[in-house]
Amino acid sequence: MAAIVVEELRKSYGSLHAVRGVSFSVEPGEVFGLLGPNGAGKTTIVEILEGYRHRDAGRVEVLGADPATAGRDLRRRVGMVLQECAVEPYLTVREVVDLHRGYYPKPLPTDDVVELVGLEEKAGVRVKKLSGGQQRRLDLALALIGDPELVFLDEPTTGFDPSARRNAWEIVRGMRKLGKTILLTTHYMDEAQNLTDRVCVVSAGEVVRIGTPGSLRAERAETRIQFIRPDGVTVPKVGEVVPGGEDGLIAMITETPTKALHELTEWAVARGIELQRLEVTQPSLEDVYLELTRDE
Amino acid sequence: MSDATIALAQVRAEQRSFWRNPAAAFFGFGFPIMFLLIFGTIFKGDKACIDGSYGAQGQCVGGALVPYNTFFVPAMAAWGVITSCFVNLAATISIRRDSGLLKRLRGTPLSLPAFVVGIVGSALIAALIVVALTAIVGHIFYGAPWPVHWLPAVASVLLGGVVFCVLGLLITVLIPNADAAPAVVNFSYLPILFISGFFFSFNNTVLQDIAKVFPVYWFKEAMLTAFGAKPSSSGWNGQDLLVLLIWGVVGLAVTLRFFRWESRRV
Repeated sequence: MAAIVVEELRKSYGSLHAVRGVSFSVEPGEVFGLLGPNGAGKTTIVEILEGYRHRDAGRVEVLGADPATAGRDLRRRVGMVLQECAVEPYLTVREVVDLHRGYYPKPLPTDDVVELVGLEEKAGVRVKKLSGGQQRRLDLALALIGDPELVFLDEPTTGFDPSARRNAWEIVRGMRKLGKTILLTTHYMDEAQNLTDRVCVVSAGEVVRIGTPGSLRAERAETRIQFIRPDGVTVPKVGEVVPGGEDGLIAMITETPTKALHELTEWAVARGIELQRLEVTQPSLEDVYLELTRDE
Repeated sequence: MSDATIALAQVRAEQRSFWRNPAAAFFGFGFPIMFLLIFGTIFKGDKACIDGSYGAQGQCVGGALVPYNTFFVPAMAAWGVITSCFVNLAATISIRRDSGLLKRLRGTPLSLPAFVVGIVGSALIAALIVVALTAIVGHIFYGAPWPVHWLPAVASVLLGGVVFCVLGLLITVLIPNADAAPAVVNFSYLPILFISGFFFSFNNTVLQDIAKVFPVYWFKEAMLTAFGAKPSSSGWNGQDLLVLLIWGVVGLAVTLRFFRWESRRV
């Protein structure tokens, strides 16, 4: 049975149709990414799944229950990292985690969870004194303390520096190994690429694409070849020339990279030219994402 | 853990937060004690006219003259309960609503009753402490008598405390964001405090009639009665407590209907 089922979900705020017939499902143990620009409806969808908002139409199932009516029994099995959610500022990290631990029937040990999110040195510090990134890690600890089957992570690494983000990724990978189902929203394509099993791209309240990060990238078959333009010669045109991005860089895209590269390097070798900074790259998930969510 | 254990843990956590937050502790305790010291000193030796009105020559008509601090100590104790419960809850709940803390709690299995017991229980502890402190300061510095009727005093503090907690939650409905909380809260009750005769009795039936609509007046009356400031009383006054109870029940119904867990999106 799927951990999350969403069928033809609709939600409007007044005349604004925030979610317009969205359907997807998440399998147990899967890390599922919900991607989309600001205002695409990601948070509305997640908050309906979390039980914070009521849907206008459609069917929603979270761990076999309807989040709109399930109440405490469901909340005991689910952990959440919301976008903006403060913690009592005058309590210490350990006091807050301990307090939340008491809300759940089969919680994890406080020390384990505090260590998992890397806050063991801050355990006795008041929440008020934590940095933004540390508070976010505390959010993660509070989402995990109840040993949930399913975890919602709504932009969990926004505002993190690169190393903090890598640490958070390790935590998510650890959760995945424990068999948790994870629904993650993010703006960062490298995050989706690195963490998720499947992604769902939403734009203007509708699903644009669902698939593995790899399958989405494969949608754009063209390979990009780029190098520094050698002086004093005319370079053969082995693909469609596209803007190189920086001065002196020439870039071409092609659907037959083997042939194109062969022609190019044969030409260069014959003239004794070394092509500086030669690169052959596949389109990134970000390239595909930007194309899918471009303003209609 | 059972709900009762969780509720106890909530009370403990709320108490910790309260005492560690200098602003909350100051507004709960600082004002009533400070005014007790100021007015207690200024009017020491004066008399207050209880249950009566001042006549043309300033005499007390239809009531009883008592030493000013016999009247003023229970009045400040009442104010302390109002700040510990009404003001304190209105402020902390608006801040928590704005910061998303309430939203987070709603996403956990913490039950609503356990959460409410936590905040109300903690406020009642603060209220009992401020009342005790007021009585002690009043007795030591100004020779005010100890509360005469103990059981009615504790009962009034607890009932009044719960009612003002409910009204503190209710007023958050009218508070658009945490920045506006002090203005809304003070505007909602400070004028009533004055016309309810918390600081001095006065002669204006219109203002007195207005004051009698609100629970602040009746709570002060209950406290005066329980502290023995009204010479001919057993310590219980059913009417005071009944009006408080009605405000509490109606307030609770309105709060349950209109309370917001999340700040309005702007």
